[in-house]
Amino acid sequence: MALLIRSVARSSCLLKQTSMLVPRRSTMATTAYEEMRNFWARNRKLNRPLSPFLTVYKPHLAMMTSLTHRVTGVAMQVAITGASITLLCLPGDFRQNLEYVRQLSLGPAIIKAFKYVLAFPVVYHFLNGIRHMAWDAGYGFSLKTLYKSGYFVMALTAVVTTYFVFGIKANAL
Amino acid sequence: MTFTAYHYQLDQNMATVMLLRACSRGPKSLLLQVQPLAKNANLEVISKQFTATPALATIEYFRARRGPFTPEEKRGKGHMMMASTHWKVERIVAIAMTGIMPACLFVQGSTMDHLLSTFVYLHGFWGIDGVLKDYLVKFVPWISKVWYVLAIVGFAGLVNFNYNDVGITKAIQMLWSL
Repeated sequence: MALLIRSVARSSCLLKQTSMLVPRRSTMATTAYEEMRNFWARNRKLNRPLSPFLTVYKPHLAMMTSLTHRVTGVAMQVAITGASITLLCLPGDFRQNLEYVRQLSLGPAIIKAFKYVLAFPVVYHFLNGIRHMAWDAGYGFSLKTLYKSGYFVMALTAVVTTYFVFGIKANAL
Repeated sequence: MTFTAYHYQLDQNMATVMLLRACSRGPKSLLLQVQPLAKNANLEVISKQFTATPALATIEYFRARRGPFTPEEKRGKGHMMMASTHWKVERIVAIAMTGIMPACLFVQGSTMDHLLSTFVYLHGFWGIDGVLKDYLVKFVPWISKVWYVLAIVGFAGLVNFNYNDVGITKAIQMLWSL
């Protein structure tokens, strides 16, 4: 009797295992798209609020350098395109227009500040871009290196930008 | 407990939770009124579960569609190359720029003008394109086309500046001499 029960139990167990081995295509999502669709459908049904937004995070170095990289990049491209279209529309050539600016006789402080505004995004994006390319190549991901390179880029940006503003005296052509 | 009764209680619990959340969110929740889905709503068709008050219909219009996106929608149509190839081209341009930009400090002239403007502009064009795709295309699908038009006009302006004016490297030099 005990043997009979055991054999039945065994066989049913075996039956279960075989049923697990049978692919259950019909009930499961077959493609990644269907799985995603089920995911979204379930989440809509659950009626969840929006997941934590940017404001809940305490800013840290990696986040701020990345954000600055993007913001400077967008600002520069918008400025380049805007300046290009403006120059296309302005009457007179660049030399004349620059002469108008010169005749405004702005103070040296304003000009220096203006140069800082121009040079900072270029220098920062250039240096941090090298950092980004190192990441693309697979280097510099450890947290220690990340922070070191971040501070290095910030310091170097300050030095190089200051050099560009005060060190370079271009001749008027 | 029957199936329906269980669901009814679940709905009641959810309503309580939502009410508490609305209270904790403050006056903002008065503007965005949450309406739970109808029982027989087809979830595949409905992609927006919030219905705004009439005053906020504009915001409702610009709400992002939050998936699911079919592989075709994600991939898009009519691309020249695979995304990975494009990524590599972008890196090559970026690496070239690390040489071109310092070189412009020392060498100015027509060749440098065209090199600098082409590489910088291409890099920036892809950059803005990526940023738009990240943040805005899901709200305003036509924004990329606006950018393409502006970018083409901008690049035409740069080329014109390099050919018919002082050129970009000389222009920067002149600007720096102020």
